[in-house]
Amino acid sequence: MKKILLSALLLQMTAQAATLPVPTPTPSPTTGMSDYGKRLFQRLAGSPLLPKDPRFAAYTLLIANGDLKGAAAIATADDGFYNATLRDWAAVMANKDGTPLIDLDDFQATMIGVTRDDLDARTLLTGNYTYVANTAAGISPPTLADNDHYKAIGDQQLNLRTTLVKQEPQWPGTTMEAAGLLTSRSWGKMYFSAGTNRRSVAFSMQIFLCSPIATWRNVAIDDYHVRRDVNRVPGGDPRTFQTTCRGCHGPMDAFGGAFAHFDFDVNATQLNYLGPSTVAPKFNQNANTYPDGWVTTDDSWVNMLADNPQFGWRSPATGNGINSFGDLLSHSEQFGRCMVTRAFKEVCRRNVSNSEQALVQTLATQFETEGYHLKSLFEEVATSPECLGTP
Amino acid sequence: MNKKLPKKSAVFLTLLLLASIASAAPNKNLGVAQADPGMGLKNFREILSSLSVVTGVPVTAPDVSAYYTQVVSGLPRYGNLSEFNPQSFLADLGLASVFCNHVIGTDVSVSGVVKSGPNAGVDFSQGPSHVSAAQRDKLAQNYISQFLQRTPTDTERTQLTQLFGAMTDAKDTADETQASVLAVCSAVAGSIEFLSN
Repeated sequence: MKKILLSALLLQMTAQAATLPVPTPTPSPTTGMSDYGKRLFQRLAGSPLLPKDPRFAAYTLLIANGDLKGAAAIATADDGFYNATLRDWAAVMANKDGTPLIDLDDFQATMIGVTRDDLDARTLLTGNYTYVANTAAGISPPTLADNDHYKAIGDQQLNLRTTLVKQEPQWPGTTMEAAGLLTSRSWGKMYFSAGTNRRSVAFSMQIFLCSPIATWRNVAIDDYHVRRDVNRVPGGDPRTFQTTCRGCHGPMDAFGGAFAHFDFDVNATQLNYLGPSTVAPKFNQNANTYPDGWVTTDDSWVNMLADNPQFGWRSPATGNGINSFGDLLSHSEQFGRCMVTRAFKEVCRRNVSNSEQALVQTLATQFETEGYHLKSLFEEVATSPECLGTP
Repeated sequence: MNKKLPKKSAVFLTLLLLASIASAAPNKNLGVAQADPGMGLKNFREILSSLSVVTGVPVTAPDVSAYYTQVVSGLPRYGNLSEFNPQSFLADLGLASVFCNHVIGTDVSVSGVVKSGPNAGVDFSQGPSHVSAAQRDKLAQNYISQFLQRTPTDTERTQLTQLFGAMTDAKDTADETQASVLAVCSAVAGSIEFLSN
């Protein structure tokens, strides 16, 4: 009888608890903070700001006075902004599946460090640095062959805001051409292992420019740079190549040279830089498939999408190496818009709608004008009325 | 604290989880989200850090860490409302109860009446009959204030005090007091209001 009563009670309770609160401008009778204020802090810091916290009074006052950016700055200074919000944000970009539930790695650590230190976000794709645990953490330094250093940071739940320190160069003791996240071990493991390194092109456009291949494939683009391993008569029908394959391979293979000197040894689980004069063999494999195709002899690349207005390119349409490719991406208008879009999704918990593209452009322009500071971008996004409403 | 849950707690948690499934499945209240597209859930990392901040129990506490590792894949991953389902709710509720149990375990180790915190006034060395109606009501208020940062409604106070009473029986043991407080704490910490973001 008691069990039945208890079940009934719990059913009643949980049903009532299931009523999600609708944000209202009224202050909480207990704390004096509006639901908006609670939510703004929670979304940025990943945990609530308690009344007993020394920052509570100042934060509440800023909200009450309408200084939302000031309040947001308190939230982005919280450990949770780095350990929860940024960690999620970076993790989603650090794997092909887009899940935040992955081990910490050098890709994520670098994004978190760059945000904390207010570095120019464009250097995420060009910088010769990474972020590692400070010596006090007592963790063996990172290597090209494993992720143990970062896994240890994550497993020990170390505070990322206080533990991460900038390390320059990115890979001490090597001559590797550095391009920030593009030369992180995490990136190499995902996109340089096996295959042909074409994934690096497709995913760099998808991750850093929010432009999946479906948005830029174009069969009208010249197929001059399409490599020899691509069948020009798949299934015996040349029309298939002309109407489908070349749309992706045309631009992708033309960019591919940027990654010519990189490989990932699956057996040794190691990121390999082959040197400035060695092209990874996989670039010219299966040469007999179409012998008249493009032969990769160096790390030159061509932007066959230079005429595509969706990217807002600002760099030369040709270049050499991975660093110049990273520079091309990060200096495009679309890079800023993509960072806005990703920050919006993280903090506002939804995708930007089609009707909000003007907001994206406004925030992206502001992001650029103010020096590409991600922390500030998160504050701007979170306090935009479209995100959490108004106080 | 790594103190094991008292026997009664296991029964309680089972019932609590069953009740949660039943109430969560229809999901009718999530219609609120349609009026507020910015509404979301805490995701796995936010649930962990929020419970830690509110209770003061570090995420590295062995009992928390062990349970979190078990259930993390069942918690909301992205914090989207669409991830609200019985599985994620159960995982959240279970994790909340581990944090609650840790806090209660700490208070149990204090001899005599607990002096501060949400359990202030409770004597964990005595049976539930030694927790007065006023103290039970205060418990309900304390936990709602602690986790939800607001004052409870009269209905909530009544329900939580009823829940406390439902956990007791004629034996009137100290274990029952712990289980009753755990029930109240878990009901609030594992509520959808706390899970919402």
